[in-house]
Amino acid sequence: MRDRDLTLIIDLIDGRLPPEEEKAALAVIAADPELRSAYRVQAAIAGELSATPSPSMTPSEREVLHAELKAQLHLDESPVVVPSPHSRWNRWLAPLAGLAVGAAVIVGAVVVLPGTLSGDADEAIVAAPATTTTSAASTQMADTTVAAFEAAPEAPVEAGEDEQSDVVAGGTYNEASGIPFVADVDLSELADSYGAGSHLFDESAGKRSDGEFPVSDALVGACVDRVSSEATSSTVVPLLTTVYEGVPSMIVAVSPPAGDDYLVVYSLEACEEIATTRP
Amino acid sequence: MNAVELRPDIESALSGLSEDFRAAVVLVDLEGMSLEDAADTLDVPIGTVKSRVFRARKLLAKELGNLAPGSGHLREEP
Repeated sequence: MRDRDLTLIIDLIDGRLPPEEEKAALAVIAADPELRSAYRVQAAIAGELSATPSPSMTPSEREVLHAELKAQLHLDESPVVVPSPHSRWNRWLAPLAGLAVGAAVIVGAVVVLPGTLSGDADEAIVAAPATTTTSAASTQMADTTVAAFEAAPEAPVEAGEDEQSDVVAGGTYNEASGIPFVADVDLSELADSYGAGSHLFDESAGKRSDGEFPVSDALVGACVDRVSSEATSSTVVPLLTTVYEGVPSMIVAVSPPAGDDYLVVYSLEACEEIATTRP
Repeated sequence: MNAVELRPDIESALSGLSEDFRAAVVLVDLEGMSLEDAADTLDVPIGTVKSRVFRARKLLAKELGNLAPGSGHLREEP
Protein backbone atom coordinates (compact mmCIF):
# COMPACT_ATOMS: atom_id res chain seq x y z
CA MET A 1 0.00 0.00 0.00
CA ARG A 2 1.29 3.40 -0.90
CA ASP A 3 1.62 6.04 1.70
CA ARG A 4 -0.91 8.28 0.11
CA ASP A 5 -3.40 5.44 0.39
CA LEU A 6 -2.54 5.23 4.05
CA THR A 7 -3.13 8.94 4.37
CA LEU A 8 -6.39 8.70 2.50
CA ILE A 9 -7.71 6.03 4.81
CA ILE A 10 -6.51 7.69 7.98
CA ASP A 11 -7.91 11.04 6.94
CA LEU A 12 -11.19 9.47 5.97
CA ILE A 13 -11.56 7.65 9.26
CA ASP A 14 -10.46 10.68 11.16
CA GLY A 15 -13.12 12.77 9.49
CA ARG A 16 -10.58 15.14 8.05
CA LEU A 17 -11.88 15.15 4.52
CA PRO A 18 -14.49 17.60 3.29
CA PRO A 19 -17.67 15.97 1.96
CA GLU A 20 -16.62 16.03 -1.68
CA GLU A 21 -13.24 14.54 -0.98
CA GLU A 22 -14.74 12.02 1.37
CA LYS A 23 -17.08 10.85 -1.35
CA ALA A 24 -14.24 10.58 -3.81
CA ALA A 25 -12.11 8.77 -1.27
CA LEU A 26 -14.83 6.24 -0.61
CA ALA A 27 -15.14 5.63 -4.32
CA VAL A 28 -11.42 5.08 -4.65
CA ILE A 29 -11.40 2.72 -1.73
CA ALA A 30 -14.45 0.84 -2.89
CA ALA A 31 -12.81 0.20 -6.22
CA ASP A 32 -9.72 -1.39 -4.78
CA PRO A 33 -9.96 -4.66 -2.84
CA GLU A 34 -6.75 -3.98 -0.94
CA LEU A 35 -7.89 -0.53 0.08
CA ARG A 36 -11.31 -1.85 1.01
CA SER A 37 -9.75 -4.42 3.24
CA ALA A 38 -7.38 -1.93 4.81
CA TYR A 39 -10.14 0.60 5.33
CA ARG A 40 -12.35 -1.99 6.91
CA VAL A 41 -9.63 -3.01 9.32
CA GLN A 42 -8.78 0.56 10.21
CA ALA A 43 -12.37 1.63 10.67
CA ALA A 44 -13.20 -1.42 12.74
CA ILE A 45 -10.29 -1.04 15.09
CA ALA A 46 -10.79 2.71 15.38
CA GLY A 47 -14.45 2.15 16.09
CA GLU A 48 -13.75 -0.53 18.62
CA LEU A 49 -11.20 1.52 20.49
CA SER A 50 -13.24 4.67 20.42
CA ALA A 51 -16.17 2.73 21.85
CA THR A 52 -13.98 1.38 24.62
CA PRO A 53 -14.37 3.31 27.83
CA SER A 54 -11.35 5.41 28.30
CA PRO A 55 -10.16 6.63 31.62
CA SER A 56 -11.76 9.73 32.95
CA MET A 57 -8.87 12.02 33.43
CA THR A 58 -8.67 15.48 34.73
CA PRO A 59 -6.60 17.93 32.71
CA SER A 60 -3.77 17.54 35.19
CA GLU A 61 -3.93 13.77 34.93
CA ARG A 62 -3.88 14.07 31.21
CA GLU A 63 -0.80 16.23 31.43
CA VAL A 64 0.85 13.60 33.55
CA LEU A 65 0.01 10.95 31.00
CA HIS A 66 1.39 13.03 28.19
CA ALA A 67 4.52 13.79 30.16
CA GLU A 68 4.97 10.10 30.80
CA LEU A 69 4.52 9.33 27.17
CA LYS A 70 7.12 11.91 26.27
CA ALA A 71 9.48 10.51 28.83
CA GLN A 72 8.99 7.00 27.53
CA LEU A 73 9.70 8.18 24.06
CA HIS A 74 12.71 10.17 25.22
CA LEU A 75 11.34 13.27 23.60
CA ASP A 76 12.91 15.56 26.10
CA GLU A 77 16.37 14.30 25.45
CA SER A 78 18.81 15.99 23.20
CA PRO A 79 18.23 15.08 19.59
CA VAL A 80 21.93 14.91 18.92
CA VAL A 81 22.55 12.04 16.60
CA VAL A 82 25.97 10.68 15.95
CA PRO A 83 26.41 8.79 12.72
CA SER A 84 26.78 5.11 13.29
CA PRO A 85 28.04 2.61 10.78
CA HIS A 86 25.36 0.27 11.99
CA SER A 87 22.45 2.58 11.55
CA ARG A 88 19.72 1.83 9.11
CA TRP A 89 20.48 5.18 7.63
CA ASN A 90 23.87 4.03 6.54
CA ARG A 91 22.48 0.75 5.38
CA TRP A 92 20.32 2.65 2.96
CA LEU A 93 23.23 4.58 1.67
CA ALA A 94 25.08 1.53 0.49
CA PRO A 95 22.99 0.50 -2.46
CA LEU A 96 22.64 4.03 -3.66
CA ALA A 97 26.19 5.10 -3.27
CA GLY A 98 26.19 8.52 -4.86
CA LEU A 99 22.76 9.35 -3.64
CA ALA A 100 23.88 9.18 -0.08
CA VAL A 101 21.34 10.17 2.42
CA GLY A 102 18.72 10.78 -0.20
CA ALA A 103 18.20 7.08 -0.21
CA ALA A 104 17.13 7.22 3.34
CA VAL A 105 14.41 9.63 2.63
CA ILE A 106 13.09 7.59 -0.08
CA VAL A 107 11.16 5.86 2.10
CA GLY A 108 7.83 5.89 2.04
CA ALA A 109 6.29 9.18 2.17
CA VAL A 110 5.11 8.96 -1.38
CA VAL A 111 6.00 7.02 -4.43
CA VAL A 112 7.23 9.46 -6.97
CA LEU A 113 7.43 8.17 -10.43
CA PRO A 114 10.48 9.24 -12.30
CA GLY A 115 10.00 11.91 -14.85
CA THR A 116 12.02 14.39 -16.73
CA LEU A 117 13.46 17.50 -15.28
CA SER A 118 11.82 20.67 -16.29
CA GLY A 119 12.02 24.21 -15.25
CA ASP A 120 8.32 24.87 -15.36
CA ALA A 121 7.19 26.59 -12.27
CA ASP A 122 3.64 27.41 -13.10
CA GLU A 123 1.92 24.52 -11.46
CA ALA A 124 0.87 25.37 -7.99
CA ILE A 125 1.62 22.90 -5.30
CA VAL A 126 -1.25 22.26 -3.09
CA ALA A 127 -2.05 20.32 -0.03
CA ALA A 128 -5.26 18.81 1.12
CA PRO A 129 -7.11 20.97 3.57
CA ALA A 130 -7.05 19.62 7.07
CA THR A 131 -9.46 19.81 9.91
CA THR A 132 -8.94 18.75 13.43
CA THR A 133 -11.97 16.64 13.91
CA THR A 134 -11.46 13.17 15.23
CA SER A 135 -14.15 10.66 14.69
CA ALA A 136 -14.48 7.03 13.95
CA ALA A 137 -15.95 6.52 10.55
CA SER A 138 -18.55 3.97 9.84
CA THR A 139 -17.55 0.65 8.48
CA GLN A 140 -20.08 0.66 5.70
CA MET A 141 -17.75 -0.71 3.11
CA ALA A 142 -18.19 -3.70 0.95
CA ASP A 143 -17.37 -6.86 2.79
CA THR A 144 -14.05 -8.25 1.91
CA THR A 145 -11.78 -10.76 3.38
CA VAL A 146 -9.57 -9.21 5.93
CA ALA A 147 -6.15 -9.44 4.51
CA ALA A 148 -3.20 -10.75 6.33
CA PHE A 149 -1.58 -7.95 8.19
CA GLU A 150 2.04 -7.33 7.88
CA ALA A 151 3.99 -5.17 10.22
CA ALA A 152 6.11 -2.65 8.45
CA PRO A 153 8.20 0.30 9.42
CA GLU A 154 6.33 3.48 9.79
CA ALA A 155 6.33 6.21 7.25
CA PRO A 156 5.58 9.84 7.68
CA VAL A 157 3.02 10.89 5.23
CA GLU A 158 3.13 14.58 5.61
CA ALA A 159 5.46 16.96 7.20
CA GLY A 160 4.37 18.65 10.34
CA GLU A 161 3.29 22.21 10.10
CA ASP A 162 5.18 23.36 13.11
CA GLU A 163 8.82 23.78 12.56
CA GLN A 164 11.47 23.67 15.19
CA SER A 165 15.15 23.36 14.93
CA ASP A 166 17.66 21.22 16.64
CA VAL A 167 21.34 20.98 16.23
CA VAL A 168 22.59 17.58 15.36
CA ALA A 169 26.02 16.24 14.74
CA GLY A 170 27.43 17.70 11.59
CA GLY A 171 24.73 20.20 10.85
CA THR A 172 21.13 21.00 11.41
CA TYR A 173 17.82 19.60 10.55
CA ASN A 174 14.31 20.67 10.88
CA GLU A 175 12.96 18.22 13.37
CA ALA A 176 9.26 18.79 13.20
CA SER A 177 9.15 18.44 9.48
CA GLY A 178 11.73 15.68 9.58
CA ILE A 179 13.78 17.24 6.83
CA PRO A 180 17.33 16.01 6.75
CA PHE A 181 20.11 17.75 4.96
CA VAL A 182 21.75 15.77 2.23
CA ALA A 183 24.96 17.15 0.87
CA ASP A 184 24.62 15.96 -2.71
CA VAL A 185 21.51 14.80 -4.46
CA ASP A 186 20.88 13.84 -8.02
CA LEU A 187 17.24 14.66 -8.55
CA SER A 188 16.67 12.11 -11.28
CA GLU A 189 18.32 9.44 -9.24
CA LEU A 190 16.24 10.39 -6.26
CA ALA A 191 13.10 10.22 -8.35
CA ASP A 192 14.15 6.86 -9.71
CA SER A 193 14.63 5.64 -6.20
CA TYR A 194 11.14 6.68 -5.32
CA GLY A 195 9.77 5.15 -8.43
CA ALA A 196 11.52 1.93 -7.58
CA GLY A 197 9.35 1.91 -4.57
CA SER A 198 11.27 1.86 -1.40
CA HIS A 199 8.95 2.89 0.98
CA LEU A 200 9.04 3.11 4.45
CA PHE A 201 10.51 5.98 6.15
CA ASP A 202 12.70 5.33 9.09
CA GLU A 203 11.94 8.08 11.48
CA SER A 204 15.46 8.18 12.74
CA ALA A 205 16.65 8.86 9.24
CA GLY A 206 14.71 12.06 9.26
CA LYS A 207 16.70 13.14 12.24
CA ARG A 208 20.03 12.63 10.64
CA SER A 209 22.04 15.32 9.11
CA ASP A 210 24.93 15.08 6.77
CA GLY A 211 27.30 17.97 6.65
CA GLU A 212 26.81 21.65 7.18
CA PHE A 213 23.85 23.26 5.58
CA PRO A 214 24.36 26.91 4.75
CA VAL A 215 20.78 27.94 5.32
CA SER A 216 19.08 28.54 8.62
CA ASP A 217 16.29 26.36 9.81
CA ALA A 218 14.12 29.43 9.96
CA LEU A 219 14.47 29.85 6.22
CA VAL A 220 13.71 26.20 5.66
CA GLY A 221 10.69 26.47 7.90
CA ALA A 222 9.48 29.57 6.09
CA CYS A 223 9.72 27.84 2.74
CA VAL A 224 7.95 24.76 4.07
CA ASP A 225 5.19 26.99 5.37
CA ARG A 226 4.94 28.84 2.10
CA VAL A 227 4.84 25.73 -0.04
CA SER A 228 2.27 24.17 2.26
CA SER A 229 0.13 27.27 2.35
CA GLU A 230 0.09 27.51 -1.42
CA ALA A 231 -1.00 23.95 -1.70
CA THR A 232 -4.69 23.30 -2.13
CA SER A 233 -5.32 19.82 -3.34
CA SER A 234 -2.09 17.90 -3.62
CA THR A 235 -0.18 16.39 -0.81
CA VAL A 236 3.23 17.92 -0.35
CA VAL A 237 5.94 16.16 1.57
CA PRO A 238 9.22 17.96 2.28
CA LEU A 239 11.89 15.36 1.78
CA LEU A 240 15.25 16.93 2.30
CA THR A 241 17.35 20.01 2.06
CA THR A 242 20.40 20.03 -0.10
CA VAL A 243 22.62 22.17 -2.25
CA TYR A 244 21.21 21.62 -5.69
CA GLU A 245 23.43 22.85 -8.48
CA GLY A 246 25.02 25.27 -6.09
CA VAL A 247 21.75 26.57 -4.72
CA PRO A 248 20.64 25.83 -1.17
CA SER A 249 17.41 24.01 -1.81
CA MET A 250 14.62 21.94 -0.46
CA ILE A 251 13.18 18.97 -2.31
CA VAL A 252 9.55 18.10 -1.82
CA ALA A 253 7.45 15.24 -3.12
CA VAL A 254 4.10 16.20 -4.55
CA SER A 255 1.14 13.89 -4.87
CA PRO A 256 -1.43 15.61 -7.08
CA PRO A 257 -5.08 14.58 -7.01
CA ALA A 258 -4.60 13.00 -10.40
CA GLY A 259 -1.54 11.85 -12.23
CA ASP A 260 1.83 10.76 -11.12
CA ASP A 261 3.70 12.03 -8.14
CA TYR A 262 6.77 14.11 -8.74
CA LEU A 263 9.57 15.94 -7.02
CA VAL A 264 10.10 19.69 -6.93
CA VAL A 265 13.26 21.51 -5.97
CA TYR A 266 12.82 24.89 -4.32
CA SER A 267 15.58 27.38 -3.82
CA LEU A 268 15.45 28.26 -0.18
CA GLU A 269 16.50 31.86 -0.46
CA ALA A 270 13.55 32.81 -2.63
CA CYS A 271 11.50 29.67 -2.02
CA GLU A 272 11.01 29.33 -5.75
CA GLU A 273 10.82 26.24 -7.86
CA ILE A 274 14.06 25.67 -9.73
CA ALA A 275 13.65 22.11 -10.95
CA THR A 276 11.12 19.33 -10.96
CA THR A 277 10.48 15.82 -12.17
CA ARG A 278 6.91 16.81 -12.95
CA PRO A 279 5.82 14.93 -16.07
CA MET B 1 -4.54 8.64 37.84
CA ASN B 2 -7.61 6.58 37.52
CA ALA B 3 -7.18 3.02 36.54
CA VAL B 4 -7.88 2.23 32.96
CA GLU B 5 -10.21 -0.67 32.61
CA LEU B 6 -9.97 -1.96 29.14
CA ARG B 7 -11.25 -5.22 27.88
CA PRO B 8 -8.55 -7.75 28.57
CA ASP B 9 -8.09 -8.68 24.94
CA ILE B 10 -7.71 -5.07 23.89
CA GLU B 11 -5.42 -4.31 26.77
CA SER B 12 -3.32 -7.32 25.92
CA ALA B 13 -3.17 -6.35 22.27
CA LEU B 14 -2.20 -2.82 23.15
CA SER B 15 0.52 -4.03 25.46
CA GLY B 16 2.04 -5.91 22.57
CA LEU B 17 2.59 -2.76 20.57
CA SER B 18 5.76 -0.77 20.63
CA GLU B 19 5.67 2.31 22.78
CA ASP B 20 5.51 4.58 19.78
CA PHE B 21 2.62 2.76 18.19
CA ARG B 22 0.76 2.34 21.46
CA ALA B 23 1.09 5.99 22.37
CA ALA B 24 -0.25 7.07 19.00
CA VAL B 25 -3.23 4.77 18.91
CA VAL B 26 -4.13 5.37 22.55
CA LEU B 27 -4.10 9.12 22.10
CA VAL B 28 -6.04 9.10 18.85
CA ASP B 29 -8.46 6.22 19.23
CA LEU B 30 -8.90 5.82 22.96
CA GLU B 31 -8.41 9.41 24.01
CA GLY B 32 -10.14 10.79 20.96
CA MET B 33 -7.35 13.23 20.36
CA SER B 34 -7.05 14.80 16.93
CA LEU B 35 -4.11 13.77 14.81
CA GLU B 36 -2.71 17.27 15.14
CA ASP B 37 -2.96 17.23 18.91
CA ALA B 38 -1.44 13.80 19.07
CA ALA B 39 1.41 15.01 16.89
CA ASP B 40 1.94 17.94 19.24
CA THR B 41 1.80 15.73 22.26
CA LEU B 42 4.22 13.20 20.86
CA ASP B 43 6.33 15.90 19.28
CA VAL B 44 6.42 14.24 15.91
CA PRO B 45 5.12 15.26 12.49
CA ILE B 46 1.48 14.56 11.87
CA GLY B 47 2.43 12.20 9.09
CA THR B 48 4.32 10.11 11.57
CA VAL B 49 1.27 9.97 13.79
CA LYS B 50 -0.84 8.85 10.86
CA SER B 51 1.62 6.18 10.02
CA ARG B 52 1.87 4.97 13.60
CA VAL B 53 -1.87 4.91 14.07
CA PHE B 54 -2.36 3.08 10.80
CA ARG B 55 0.20 0.43 11.59
CA ALA B 56 -0.87 0.13 15.19
CA ARG B 57 -4.41 -0.58 14.10
CA LYS B 58 -3.17 -3.20 11.69
CA LEU B 59 -1.21 -4.88 14.42
CA LEU B 60 -4.13 -4.68 16.79
CA ALA B 61 -6.39 -6.21 14.20
CA LYS B 62 -3.95 -9.01 13.71
CA GLU B 63 -3.62 -9.54 17.43
CA LEU B 64 -7.33 -9.39 18.10
CA GLY B 65 -7.90 -11.80 15.28
CA ASN B 66 -11.24 -13.36 14.68
CA LEU B 67 -13.68 -11.34 16.67
CA ALA B 68 -17.26 -11.90 17.41
CA PRO B 69 -19.79 -10.57 14.94
CA GLY B 70 -21.81 -7.74 16.31
CA SER B 71 -19.20 -6.67 18.74
CA GLY B 72 -17.96 -4.06 16.38
CA HIS B 73 -14.80 -6.04 16.03
CA LEU B 74 -13.39 -7.39 12.92
CA ARG B 75 -14.16 -10.85 11.93
CA GLU B 76 -12.66 -12.85 9.22
CA GLU B 77 -14.74 -13.44 6.21
CA PRO B 78 -15.09 -16.97 4.97
